[in-house]
Amino acid sequence: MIENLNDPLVHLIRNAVDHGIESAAIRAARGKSATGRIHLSAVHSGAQVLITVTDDGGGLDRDVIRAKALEKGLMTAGQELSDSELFAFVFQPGFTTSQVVTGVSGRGVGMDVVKRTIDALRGTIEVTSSPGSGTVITCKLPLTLAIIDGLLVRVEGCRYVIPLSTIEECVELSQEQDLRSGGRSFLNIRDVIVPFLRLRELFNATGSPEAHQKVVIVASGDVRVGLVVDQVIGQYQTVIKSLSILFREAREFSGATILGDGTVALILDIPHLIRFAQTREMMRK
Amino acid sequence: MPASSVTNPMSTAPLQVLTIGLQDEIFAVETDRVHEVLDQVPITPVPNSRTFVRGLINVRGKVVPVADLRLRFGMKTGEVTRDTRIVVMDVFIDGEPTLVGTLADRVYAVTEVAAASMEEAPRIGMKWRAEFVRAIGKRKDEFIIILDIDRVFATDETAYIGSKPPEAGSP
Repeated sequence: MIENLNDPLVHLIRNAVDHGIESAAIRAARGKSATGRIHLSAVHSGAQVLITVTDDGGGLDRDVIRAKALEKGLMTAGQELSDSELFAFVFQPGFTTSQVVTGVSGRGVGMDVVKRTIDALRGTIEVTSSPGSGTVITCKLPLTLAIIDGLLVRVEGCRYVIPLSTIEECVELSQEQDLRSGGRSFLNIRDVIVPFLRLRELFNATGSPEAHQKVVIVASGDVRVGLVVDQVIGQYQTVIKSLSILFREAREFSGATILGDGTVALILDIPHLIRFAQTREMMRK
Repeated sequence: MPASSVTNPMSTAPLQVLTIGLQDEIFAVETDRVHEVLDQVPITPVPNSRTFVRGLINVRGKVVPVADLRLRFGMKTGEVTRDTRIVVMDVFIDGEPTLVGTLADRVYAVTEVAAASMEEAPRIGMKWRAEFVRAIGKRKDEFIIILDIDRVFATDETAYIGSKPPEAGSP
């Protein structure tokens, strides 16, 4: 794992040096010390390791990223995007906001490779930045790569494992909410609106939903979503087996595991599942 | 294509194959590729995957995908009968060796097909894609369709990797 992290980290630091830190004159004008600072840290956080690269440079330029994303057709002109959505564009292949190619960086290759490496380690990467005061890049990596704690759920005849680290709570989907949700799929959890997805629909289950459906509330980044399942079976420690290349398209699953009775269960990849559901909904509209 | 799949069909040595039945046709796979033949086991479907991939099975602790070759050859999915088997074999998918299972309506035998009786697949007169067929062999009065199993599993979508997120392509 350490070897795999080497290249992404080198890249992130180079990026911070080249794009982040401004020239001494600009720094002085902004009232910062002439010497830039890049802070590298690694912290334990639950079942994850957080690796952050922080610089006190100029920060990401939202307008430049927006313009570049428009140019590349990644967003439409009137689209309002949150900072995290906007910053996510820097991980797109070939995306560079730098006009000049230097010996250190600016070729538009790299950040997408960094993201792919982190994805392959089943981690996530996030960017936060404030103009004028710097950029923070956080890589969240799972501590153990082979074994995860999961919640075993059932959707129709199939069982799935939801990584426990993504789960916030489980609630019941009352019949009332279930019936009312023809047009909207929101839950009210202690006065916070949480949208929910029906795994039956996402996974094209054919039968009719069972009574007393459960909702597993999961979080990915700053998105909270409920996943409606037929049954919550219980906590389950799983050994992850990777999926064959034949399932390259099925990004909603991060792997599979073998259950006690010898059958195979799929492990959900929550960030990809949410993205998949969003794409699907957009296409339907 | 990996070197192993392009053995010359016109070479003189007889080809040792495992013959399997799909609907009313006899197909054959080189025995070198075949690992084992399994009875029916529960298959875990993988939602939103490619249609001819039926799901996953557990082969002694390994998670192995199972494909329905009937769907790949434009036939309808068959009923599971007492004769249905899963043939586990080695396939090179985009150059990577991968273990896959394929559903067969029945498995006949390991047999030899004489090199002289093998002919290249005709470009017309076949219901299925010619590139899936390595050669057509004759045995007694029957035709045996010798598969190019790597091409059967080749991912046609190779072109878009890296240029477009795969999830956007799902239905």
